[in-house]
Amino acid sequence: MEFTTTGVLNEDGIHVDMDRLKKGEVNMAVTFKDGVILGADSRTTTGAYIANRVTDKLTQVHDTIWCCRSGSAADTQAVTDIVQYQLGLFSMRNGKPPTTQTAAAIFQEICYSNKDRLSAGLIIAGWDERHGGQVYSIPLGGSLHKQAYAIGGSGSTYIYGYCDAHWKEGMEEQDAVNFVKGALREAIKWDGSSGGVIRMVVLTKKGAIRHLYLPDEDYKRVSGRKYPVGTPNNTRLPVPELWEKRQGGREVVAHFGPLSSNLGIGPCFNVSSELTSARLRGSSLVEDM
Amino acid sequence: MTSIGTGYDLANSIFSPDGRNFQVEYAVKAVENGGTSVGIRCKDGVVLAVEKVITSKLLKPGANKRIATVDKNLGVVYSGMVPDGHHFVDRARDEARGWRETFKTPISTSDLASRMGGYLQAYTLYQSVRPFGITAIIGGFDSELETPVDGEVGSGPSVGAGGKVEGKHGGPGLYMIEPSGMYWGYYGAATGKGRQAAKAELEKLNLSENKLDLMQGIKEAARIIYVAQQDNKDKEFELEMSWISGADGPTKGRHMEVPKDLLEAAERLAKKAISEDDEEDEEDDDEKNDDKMEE
Repeated sequence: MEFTTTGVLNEDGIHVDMDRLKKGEVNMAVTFKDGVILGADSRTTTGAYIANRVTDKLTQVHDTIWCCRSGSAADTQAVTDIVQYQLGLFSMRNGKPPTTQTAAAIFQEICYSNKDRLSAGLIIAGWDERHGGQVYSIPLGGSLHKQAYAIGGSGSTYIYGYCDAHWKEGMEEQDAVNFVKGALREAIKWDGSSGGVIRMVVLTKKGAIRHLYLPDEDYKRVSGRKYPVGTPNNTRLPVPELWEKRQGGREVVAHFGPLSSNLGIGPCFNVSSELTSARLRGSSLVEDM
Repeated sequence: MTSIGTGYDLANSIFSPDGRNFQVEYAVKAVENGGTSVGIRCKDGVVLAVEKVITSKLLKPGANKRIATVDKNLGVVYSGMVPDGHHFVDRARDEARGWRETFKTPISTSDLASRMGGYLQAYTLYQSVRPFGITAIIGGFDSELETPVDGEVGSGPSVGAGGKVEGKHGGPGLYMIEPSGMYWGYYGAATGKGRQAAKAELEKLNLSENKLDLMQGIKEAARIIYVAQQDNKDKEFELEMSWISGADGPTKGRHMEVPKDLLEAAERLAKKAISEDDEEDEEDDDEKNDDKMEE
């Protein structure tokens, strides 16, 4: 069988051109009154094939420092693994948590010194006592930009106008969540290579709280999970107590429609995306870039 | 020292049976003979001062500085062996540069103290080296400012980053590192020959109340160096002083020499203060004599 270079599935619907990276995704981070919010879609593609529709592109590198990954899944996972290690070491050696700026500086060093070999676009967002919520963007060449809010990935081209028109300084948390959701919805609507669910992480002095919004639920929030400050990285917390019951008292799980049925929003909603990303590592998968 | 000649004082890497490292203790002796250094942590900055002993009439006045700048906002002064001090400063500059390279942010005063403490401690462990013959005082001001947003236009965002925890961030820092590598943070620090008198004077300032400001601080520092120098008046010396304030203070967050006019004014006051002390002493003596006469 011949492989094409068009990024399109072959007749058998299985064989995919792995060399051609079709980058498409959208992610963003926004400062608000009490901290910062990260948001991303969940599509990972190999050419035209959606390799994972429930990807988790929001990755924790310290208690309240997270990043949005876009570009090569393998590259960004490798980079975040290194930074996560460095920040863990930093906080032990210095007896205090790293600032967002420190995290961004370590990211930048890696991205710049390996610029010829990496395909990684990152947005670093974090909260610390001294500076509050902060957003740093590291685009392809490895430059570092401090911003009040940042958008990235192919889908972001569709929402520059939306963000400029709707972003305000010092928003309330709910307004900021709505802003992020509104922007991501537009990106998902217009960008073919962005899609799936909307994931968010809210970082404040209380720690990190996850949000999940499903398209077939009109992006109403279905669950949240807390990562209080001090929770070890990558801890898989039992979810149930944080599941919000819907109005009428129905369990969220029971209500999932066709898409959500396989979202991995079971007792541990991260598991499916975790497994998938582990499987994807090493292949030239592109995360909703 | 009772253990001299027992052989336990010949190398760093051997403890004496009662658990002492004599090489380190000898290094402290070297410090105790050096010109007095003083550091004062004021509410709005730090003052460093040193009694620079003039070893030759042929030395150019004001040259051969003893206080060094390690990073924009960090200064170091030391008592003891001057060449060891130079090496200490070189290393501190390397540490500051390395920190900037890695973290893209200036090293904080406490982190520099920690790094240099570790460095000096390593020189107490090995047969092939000797401990540093200095006690160093590190003064710094950790910036209270925030890094601006890139592409900021005009005054930039009016609100800035949200969710900051109230309270003071950044500020003045003062640390003293001994030959053993031990370091502590201080309100006021003194080392060198006149350290006892200097410490007594520093304690009188009640620095922990955080009321003394930089302008008072330079006057006190100058006076303390003069007071501490009283016990060996025969030696000629020069007063060298530097200071560091926050971004809105007189040095705009930088470590720099105290300007000549302020230094001279502080020196005049210091000389006046010690001569008044002398007069008081004499008066006391007179009173005592009077008492005697009455008897």
